[in-house]
Amino acid sequence: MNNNSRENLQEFFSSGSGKIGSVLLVIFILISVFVVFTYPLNFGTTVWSNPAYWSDYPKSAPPTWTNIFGNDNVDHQIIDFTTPADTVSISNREVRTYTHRFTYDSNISPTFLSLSLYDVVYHDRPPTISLSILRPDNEEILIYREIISPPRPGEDGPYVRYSDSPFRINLSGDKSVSSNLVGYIRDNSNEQISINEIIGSNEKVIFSNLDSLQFDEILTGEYELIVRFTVNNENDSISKIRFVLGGSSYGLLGTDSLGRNLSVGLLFGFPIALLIGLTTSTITTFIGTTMGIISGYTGGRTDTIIQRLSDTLSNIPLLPILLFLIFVFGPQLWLVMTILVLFGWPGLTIIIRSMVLQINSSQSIEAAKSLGASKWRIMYRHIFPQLAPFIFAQLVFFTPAAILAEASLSFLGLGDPSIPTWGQILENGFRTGGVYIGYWWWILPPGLLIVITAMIFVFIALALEPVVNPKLKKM
Amino acid sequence: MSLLQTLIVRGLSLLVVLITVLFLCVIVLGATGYSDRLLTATVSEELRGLRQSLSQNIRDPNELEQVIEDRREQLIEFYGLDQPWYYRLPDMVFRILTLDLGEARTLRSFSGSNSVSDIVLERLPNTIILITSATIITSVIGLYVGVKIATQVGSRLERSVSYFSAISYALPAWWLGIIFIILFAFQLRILPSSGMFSVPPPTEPLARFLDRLVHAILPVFTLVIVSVGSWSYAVRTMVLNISQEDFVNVARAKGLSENLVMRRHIIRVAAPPIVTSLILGLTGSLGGAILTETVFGWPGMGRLYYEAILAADESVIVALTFMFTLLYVVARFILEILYIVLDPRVRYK
Amino acid sequence: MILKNNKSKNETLVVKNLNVNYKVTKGNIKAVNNVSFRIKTGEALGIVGESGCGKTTIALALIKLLPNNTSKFSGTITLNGKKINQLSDENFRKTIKWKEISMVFQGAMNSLNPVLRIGDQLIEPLVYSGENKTIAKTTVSELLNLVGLSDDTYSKYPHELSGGMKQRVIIAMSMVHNPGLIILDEPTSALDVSVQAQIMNLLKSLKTKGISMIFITHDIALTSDLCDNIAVMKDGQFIEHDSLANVLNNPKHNFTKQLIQSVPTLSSKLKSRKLKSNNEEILNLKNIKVDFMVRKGLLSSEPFTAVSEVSLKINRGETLALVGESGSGKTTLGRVVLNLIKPVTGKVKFQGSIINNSTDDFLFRKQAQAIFQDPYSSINPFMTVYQILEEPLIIHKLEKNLHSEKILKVLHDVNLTPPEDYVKKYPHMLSGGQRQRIGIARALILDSKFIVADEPVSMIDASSRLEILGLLNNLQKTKNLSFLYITHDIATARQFSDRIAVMFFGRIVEQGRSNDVVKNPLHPYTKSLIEAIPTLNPKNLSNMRNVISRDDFHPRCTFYNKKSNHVVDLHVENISHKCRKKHPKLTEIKTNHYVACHS
Repeated sequence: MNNNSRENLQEFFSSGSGKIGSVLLVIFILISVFVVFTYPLNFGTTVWSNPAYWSDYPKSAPPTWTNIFGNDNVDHQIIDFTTPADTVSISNREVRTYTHRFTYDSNISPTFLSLSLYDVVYHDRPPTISLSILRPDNEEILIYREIISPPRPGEDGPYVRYSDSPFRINLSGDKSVSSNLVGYIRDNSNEQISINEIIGSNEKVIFSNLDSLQFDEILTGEYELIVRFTVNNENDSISKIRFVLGGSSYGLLGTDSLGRNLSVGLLFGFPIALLIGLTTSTITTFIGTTMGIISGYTGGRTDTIIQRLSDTLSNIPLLPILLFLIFVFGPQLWLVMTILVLFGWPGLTIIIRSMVLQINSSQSIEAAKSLGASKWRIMYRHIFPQLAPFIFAQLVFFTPAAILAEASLSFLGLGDPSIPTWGQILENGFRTGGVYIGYWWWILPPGLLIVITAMIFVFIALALEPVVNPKLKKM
Repeated sequence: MSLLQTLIVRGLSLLVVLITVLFLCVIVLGATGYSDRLLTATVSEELRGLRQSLSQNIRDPNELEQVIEDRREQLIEFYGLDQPWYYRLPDMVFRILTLDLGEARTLRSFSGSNSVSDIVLERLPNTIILITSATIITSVIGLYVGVKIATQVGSRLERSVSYFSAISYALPAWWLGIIFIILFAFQLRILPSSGMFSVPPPTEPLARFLDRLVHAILPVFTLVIVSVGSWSYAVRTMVLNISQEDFVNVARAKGLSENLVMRRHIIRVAAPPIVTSLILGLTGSLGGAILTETVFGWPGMGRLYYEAILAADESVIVALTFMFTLLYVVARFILEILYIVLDPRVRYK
Repeated sequence: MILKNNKSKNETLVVKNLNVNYKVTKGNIKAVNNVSFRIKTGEALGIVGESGCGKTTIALALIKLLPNNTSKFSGTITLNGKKINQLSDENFRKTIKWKEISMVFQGAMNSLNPVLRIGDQLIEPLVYSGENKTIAKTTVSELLNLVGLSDDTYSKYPHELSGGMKQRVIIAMSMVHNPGLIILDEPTSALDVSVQAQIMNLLKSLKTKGISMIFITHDIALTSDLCDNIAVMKDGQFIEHDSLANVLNNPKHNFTKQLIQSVPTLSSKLKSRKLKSNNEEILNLKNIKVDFMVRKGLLSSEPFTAVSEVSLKINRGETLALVGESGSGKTTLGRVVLNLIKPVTGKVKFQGSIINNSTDDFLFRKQAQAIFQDPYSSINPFMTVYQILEEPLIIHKLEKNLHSEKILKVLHDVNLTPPEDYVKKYPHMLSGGQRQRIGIARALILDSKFIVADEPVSMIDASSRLEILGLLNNLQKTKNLSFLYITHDIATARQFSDRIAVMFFGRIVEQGRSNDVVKNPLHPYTKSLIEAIPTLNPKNLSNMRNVISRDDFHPRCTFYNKKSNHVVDLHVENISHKCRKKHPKLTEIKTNHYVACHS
């Protein structure tokens, strides 16, 4: 490293924007590395756009930390039963009981309840599962009872069930649950209500004070979940029983209307944004520089062709043509990047060419020529180094442009559905009406992340300016 | 080169841009089979109309089918559907040029017409209003602020403007629009969130005008915010570059007041490069308009673009791509003329 | 050294103990250190110094235009008995600037606002200080005539004027308020010698009108045309300050002596240039013609002939100087010789073989090298000295293990010793003279025998010019080199070359042995060129230089004056009408002395 570049580095870091930009960039890169190593490659299709994956998450829930501001929110609880608290054998039957106690002190009901069964194996007759809840008023209500599906004709034991994906029962909307509840109320208070009145909001009935049948007063206190798994063979097994009590707030950044954990999706956006920005700008800068140097140095017909081509391409308004092409060819991320490169290089080529023309007339190039240096050697060894700082600054400056362009495209509904980006998450929020309903946690963070990412590069470019443009250095 | 020649050259090169975009559209549409689909749809639309009108006169179904089949063959030949797509290129280009793109699939104009040219042309003025007013406001603010901070390099104001310009460059127009809606329309409830008129619109002309003005505030303001920062910064840099020129020192030595030096010897000289950067910012503001209109439901061509994408209405999309390019080319040409007027060095070359 | 004149009433300007400091990142710079001087009405003071010595700062201090990083500005400035440095900025601007003191800035090219008409810029100071516009216009028209410009200049834009015309406009501009003092900061530095001589004539005539002047220049020879007193400046101080004659005839300070010595004179005795030159021809140009295509209008372009009908020979060990002003085609011809551009017609023979037809000129490249004018742009700023000098060795595939040895030796040859100190340096760490030595070393490292030197010293400070030329001279002797020395300066050409060829509008108009051409010029253009050379002679003060503007020569026949539309009798009594139709051919008038003439 020579003095020159050391001075430049000092100059760069002496500016506030250079410092902020570099620190943030390092953080972003670290997050991206983390995501790349922990997320599955096909995260978009298997996780993010897979509604089944998100069924046990609360829908449109604000972040948990909003509770600090006094909002009464139900915590989201996932209760997994793996080992029975008690096993009772009656003749060749065996009843395994799982229990869980918890305190419910919120004044609103859970958003939903669900039960999932994982990996059931039985040998003779199908086992039975039942879920009851013991309420603070010491009433035990049977909520759900189900017999695991019997052997299919021709199937040989042991019979394996729910091993690929768990069997999930949406307790809130399950008809049998409603009918159990209706039965309970009829038995206890002689009041007759119809299933239709409560189906879809069974959870309210379960958690409310049953004195009034409006189900609007929550019964707070200690609850106990009781799950009974009745088998006919001691070798029958179930690997996990999951009970989910849907909260009204979730995680660091809340969920969207499909219940997707926004923080998970937003995290995935980090490497994608950097990938889009850096790849596009690197390729664009590379092509733009190469074309510019060739055009400016060789002159003649090559120059004329490159000049005309870049003049025309750089004059085409980008967004409309981008929309058009993506609409026709389909929303694919690599295509978006290709088009950005295709219409991005000419601008740089025009600038580089004019700089090369200037350098060309300088005597150092004349000197290299009269030494007998070959065309390529002059371009690579004598012209390129003089342009390098500028080119680097351009690369940095072009990065946010690519990120913003992809975000805009996603926002207009032309995002690649297989790869979730911040722009797409925002677009989902916008299109679902999140803006009007007030789902701020769905709208603000992705936008902020886009702004911050773009700003990182703008800040770095800003700090590079005096290094690249010595005219401004003096001031 | 004379003034006229310069203008002709600029005009021609912009025309080349327009033609390139046209051919690009047409080739892409042709090669992907879109144009076949488009024309086939037009043909069946026409035939359906024909069937309806004929069914009252011709009772015999066989005869009816025969007539329609004949007509179908005529139409297929007329639209060139019996030939590969590349034979139809010139015809397609001409059709786009005249916005003769048949009927939109689902979109309708405000008056209910489904002809593509009706739908698009009806929206054109709204987009022009939005872009021009935003550009004018941005230019004025940017010029004022840019010149002001150029005279006080290193000051707190100058530094904050340069940070603001970085932020405003990084701000996507649509996101800012959303924030504005949340803030001004839903939190503060002082401005309407979308559209161009209240429903129902006021009937009295003045009230109507004011109503439109109130609806325009947020979209225009959004467009201004996202571009004014980098614009002032660009003005600052250009003014700074010029103010280091020798003739500025000469002007000071001549005893001219600082005000006059700024006006006659810095801003006047910086005017041509400032126009150039306006030109360079044009594609950006077009893109910004598309997004801003979408967010604010401003019934212009940009919002239409969004609607057309959602409705997958390809003929409207083609028409809009062409119209946006045309808009760009025209605006650019106007600025080129302005540049030539401002810079005698180009004028007399 | 303080002038002996006592304070008298007709003193325009008295400056006492002027100090100016600039604040830079590493502390303070004393740009002007305790400078005092007086100027009487109608007198001119010449301030001579090299770049960075603080001479321009004095000018800026006098007209209150010091830059923002000025940390100290003290001393008294008395103009016509008034202490002007105590005036408020606003007061100073309204009463002194341009009205009492005006200034001609360095660099005529950039001193005019490119988007305003000349007239508007000229009347500006008048109109904005309340003058009636019509009166202002009349004043300005008169001034334009006074500086030798026609009335239609008024409505032109700067880019429509030549450099000389612009400088005249600027001088006219400095006089709109009829100030008592004009500061001239290098008013001729970007101009050709003949234009420079005309501008000096103009300034001389203005001085007779009783205007006091401060003439700032790096060229001590120029002061003898204009200045009554001279101050030599170095590191912010006046190291010598006396009347013109005293300074020129009796320089006291070494630096002054050095400056005076560096001025090439036409009369001095030449050191004998021992020619090893035999008649072995190394370069032979035959009938070279070079056209450039210039765009005219929309699609058409027309050829502009930069060089035509040029034939030259250079023998081994000989130096031929190609002398001409800007646009004469001398640099283009140099590029043809280096095979960097191809002539339209003609042959370039190097050591007997034609080089301009073959595409494979690799061998030629090794034997013919170039030294360039600009030491700042001719070497790549991103390479170390070692890399710069290694470049030719890599290109010509010399064995890698010999590189270092060769580089050290060549650095030694160009007197950059010890060479080890230089190899790791970057160009920006070197002075202009040192950089130029690197340029020379690069030309020598391949042991080439023929070198094209294009104005090798014109951009170097006067004090190191002689050293560089001396170095080239020595190298020529020890290595038996041949030079094509391209220059605008016929005086150095005489000292450094064996033969001179004068180029004008792409043609050679006179050629002969150096001393013959300078002592006994035959062509009127050569005569005018020699007349224009600034010389150190106190008598210059009273003489106008008899130079003819280049524009007054007709490009076809140099004896034909376009302006007056009749044949000018400058050289021979009768000029036939052939001049109007044909270019004259070079004819040998005396032994080995050729001139382009129809006679």
